[in-house]
This record gives sequence, C-alpha cells and structure tokens, in this order.
Amino acid sequence: MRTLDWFVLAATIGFIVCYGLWKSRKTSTVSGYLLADRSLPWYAVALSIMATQASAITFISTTGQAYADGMRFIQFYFGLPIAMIIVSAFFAPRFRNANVFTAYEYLEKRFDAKTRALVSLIFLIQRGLAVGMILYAPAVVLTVILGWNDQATTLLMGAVVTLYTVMGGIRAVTWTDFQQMIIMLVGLFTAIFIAVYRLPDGIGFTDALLLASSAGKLNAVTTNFDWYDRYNLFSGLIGGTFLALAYFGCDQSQVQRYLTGKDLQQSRVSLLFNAVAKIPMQFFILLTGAMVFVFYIFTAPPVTFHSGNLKKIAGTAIERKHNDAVAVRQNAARELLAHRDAEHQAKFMAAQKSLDVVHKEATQGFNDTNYVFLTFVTQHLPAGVVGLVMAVIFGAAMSTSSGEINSLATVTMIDFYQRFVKRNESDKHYLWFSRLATVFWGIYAVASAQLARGLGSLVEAVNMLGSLFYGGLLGVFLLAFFFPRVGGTAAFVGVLAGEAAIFYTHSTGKVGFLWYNVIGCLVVVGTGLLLSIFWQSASNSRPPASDVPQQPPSPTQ
Amino acid sequence: MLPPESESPPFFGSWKRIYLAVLVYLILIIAALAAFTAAFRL
Repeated sequence: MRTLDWFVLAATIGFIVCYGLWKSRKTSTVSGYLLADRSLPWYAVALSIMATQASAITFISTTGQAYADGMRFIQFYFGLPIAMIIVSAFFAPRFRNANVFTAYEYLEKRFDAKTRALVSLIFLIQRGLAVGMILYAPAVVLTVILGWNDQATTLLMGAVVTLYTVMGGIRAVTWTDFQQMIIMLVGLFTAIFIAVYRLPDGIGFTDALLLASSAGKLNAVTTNFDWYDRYNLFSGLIGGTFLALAYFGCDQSQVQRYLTGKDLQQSRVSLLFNAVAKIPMQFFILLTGAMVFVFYIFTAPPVTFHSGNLKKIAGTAIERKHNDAVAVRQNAARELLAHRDAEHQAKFMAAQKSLDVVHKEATQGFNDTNYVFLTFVTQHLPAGVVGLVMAVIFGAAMSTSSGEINSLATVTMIDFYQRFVKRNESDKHYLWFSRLATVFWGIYAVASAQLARGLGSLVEAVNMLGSLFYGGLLGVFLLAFFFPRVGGTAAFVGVLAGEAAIFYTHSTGKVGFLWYNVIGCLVVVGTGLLLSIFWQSASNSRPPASDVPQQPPSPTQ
Repeated sequence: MLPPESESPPFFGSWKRIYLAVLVYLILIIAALAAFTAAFRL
C-alpha cells in the first residue's frame, strides 16, 4: 500500500465513524440506543440491512468463488425476494405492533418465558460464535496479502467498531452502515471497470464474457438437481428462501434494523428494496470475479494466490509446468477470439483444464480463492483505488460486526437482564447496562477472533454455523404466527427436536447445508403441531397450563 | 394500546400488488440470468 492508499483508507473510515457518531449524538434513552426511537427513514434502514449482510468475506471470498467456480453462487440469493415478501407481510407487522425491542420478546407474548429464553440463548450462542469469525476473516487474508499482523488488525477493527457502537448505539450503527454501503458500491464498480479496462488492447467486454463463459464462469443458472450440490436453481429457491426467511425474520441483527423504521411502511419498503437490489448487487460482485479471471488469462497469474505457499514453489518443476500451461491457455484464448467457433472453444476449455490440474498440484488441496481478489487489487490497481478497496473490506467487516455486537447486547439486555435480573429499574440504568453489554460483546468479539485463527475455512464455518441454528429459530416463529392453537411447551419441545434433527443431519454429512434450514423448520413445526394435538386430545378440556391455546396478538397490541 | 401504524403502500395502490411486482421481478431476473448463462455459448 502506498501513502495515497493509506490516506484514502484512513480518511474514508475516519469520515464514516465521525459521521455515525455525529448522527447519534442525541441518544440518551434505551429506546433511542437500541431502536433509534423508531425514527429512521427507509433508505437508511435498507442500506443498513444490506451492509449488515454484506461482510468483508462477501467481497473477498465471493469474487474468488466466481474466479474458481463461476457465478452459480448467485442462485443462493434466489429465495431472498420470496423471503422478503413473507417477512414484510407477516413478520414485520407483528413485531412492530407488539412494540418489542427483540424478536424473542415477541415469543413470550405469544408463548411463554421458557420458549423466549431458549430461543434467545440459541441466538446468543450462534451469533456469539460467529462474531469473532466475522471480525477475523478479513484479517487473515490481509495478513497474507499485505503482511499485516492479524492480531493488530482485528484489535484495531474491534476497537473502532466497539467505540462507535457503544457511544451511538443503533443510530451510529445504521448511519455508519449507510455510508459503508455507499463506499462498497463505489469500490465494487471501480474494481469491475478497472478489471475490464486493464485487458489487452483489442479485447473488449463481450470478448471477456465469451472467454469467461467458455471457461464455465458465467454459469449463473444451473438446473441440475442434486442434494449434495449447494448452488443450483432448486436449492436457491427452496433452501435459499428458508435461510433468508430465518435470517431476516428471526435473527435479531436484522429484525432490529427494520424495527428502527419510522413506521411499518418505512420498514416494509426497506425490506422490499433489499428484495429487489440484492441479486443485482451479488451479480456485479460475482461478475468482478469473472472479469478478474479473464484479466489473469492475459496477465500471468501466480502459481498460487497464497504468497506464503508461493515461496515454497518458486523455481520448482511445478512452477515451470504452471508457466507453460498459462502460455498455452493464453494462445488458446486468442485463437478462440479470432475464430469464435466450437472447435477453438473446446481447445480453450482443454487448456483451462490442464491449468486447473497444475494449480491443484501446486496448492496441494489448499483453497486459495480467498486470496485472488486482494492479490489483483494490491498488484494491479492504481494508487488510491487500492486504499478505496481496502476501505470497502474494512467497512464491510465493521458494518457486519457492529450489527452483530449491537444485537447481541440488545438480546443480553432485553431478553435476559431486564427480564430475569432487574425488572423495574430506571431507563438510565438500562441505558448504562446496554452500553456495558456492548463493551462486553466488543471485547468478546476481539478475543474470540484470536481463537478463530485455528479454525481453517472461515466462510464455511460461518455459513455452517448459521444453518445449524436458523431452522429451529424459523420453525418456532412460524408456529407463533400461523398456528394459534400451539402452546408454549409444544413450541419449546419443537425447537429442541428441530435442533436435534439438524445436528443429526449434519453428522450424517449427506445433505448440503442449505437444506438444514428446511429440515429443522419442518421438524419444529411438525413436532409442535403433533404435541399440541396429542395433549389436547389426551386431556380434552384440561391441557397443561402453559399450553392453553392463546389468541394471536391483535394488530394493535 | 399503540396508535395504528401507516399501512398505506407508497406506490401500486396495495401491498399485494407490490409483492406481486417483486415476484414478477424475480421471475424476470432469473430468466435474464438464464439468458446470460446461455448467451455466450458457442
């Protein structure tokens, strides 16, 4: 990184943090601290939702995924618009009308305290485990690419995030997210433009698309059904709907965002904005990866993008084989562009396959896709733009982790401290405890990020972790909203059964993780329904006290 | 009791129509992506 890059990085992050703190300077109540007094406009909420979901890994790993595996990952998001419609129509009105701070608070109004405590605890375990990984994920890549100290990077990011989250609460988080999302979009389009601009003379955008397609990188829609295949049209539409429904409907880090909207209309519009904008945004992130792939057809790529492993390979026979395979692929690409026929396309595909084999041999099974994009950025982008892209990576990591820390503190305060420890304290006391809980989760995030060092693939770990718990969370909320005869104990047992089913499925290793959400959710709903029917028929007129069917909440409860 | 919140959609007259528009958009974007996948095959 050059001086100009450092300046751009520091100025961008400094401006974002100062702007967030300035916008939140009047926060003096618990409602203001945790829900921004339900006063935010839809565009701030919409971009905050988007920024919280787009972590640093989204930019680092997704581009690398397109480089290696093509664009089929986009199908992961096909269920998101469907989920957003359901959340907008059924979840948001119930949460807002129940006047709750957390989604789990609603469960006590609908079921009982034990169901609320169980689901809150699942959320704290799940997000508590993930928050360190979210903070650590970009640091591990920056360490390899730029030689930065990973502990210092996580400490710096964690300290900045904790500072503005503690001081400004959800208002600071939302307005910093808003700015970070704008910077992310600017950085993204700059990277795409430069990747295409840096192609050799005479090779245009459509030529680049032809080469990317011939190498199988433009596979945005795949219709082959396979339980093991994570990304195809069916897993995206079905599994993706359940995952997005669980994330946006039951995860406090998202629910809290749309509870801050001025009114229900603003909340709904912010959700539907994401329904419309998310797939195009992911498309452009993946397209960036595909364009980086084409760029490296004409600019020799390193044998491996992991610089640590590169030193071991230098001067070996593998390096020579790699260089030969790169030259063959480059010639095949030029021939393909000159002739544009199936015969030359087949030759290009064969050259690509040969290079893939050499690459596999060089990396010895190590997945270096997470290092592709930042290698391209640091080695081939001009001064200033590198700083901007680094600001995007930092901003993305900070927006996601600040949202997580804020929501963890909110659940700790509302669902445990205020509910079970101190029930009738002053607003000032709860505000003080909310800040204390935020400091705790900030320190916890930095500390657990140090433990994440030994976990291997962090993207896999974060995705897997979410899917182990989201099915159970979604199931209990579906019971709450759509099955008014199911009571607290049936829902409680249903959640336990759903989690048991997910962990059993995971242990078999036979089903892709997107399906865990479907399985867990169906088991929770099925168990809850069966138990409520069984208990009602067994006791006929005298069901257990906690399972007395409750009326669904009225629209103005 | 809380005051009733604004339910009126900002455009299209009703929320149902907006949801339908989002579904149509989803179908169109999947179709466009399928066309994009096939467009550069020789």
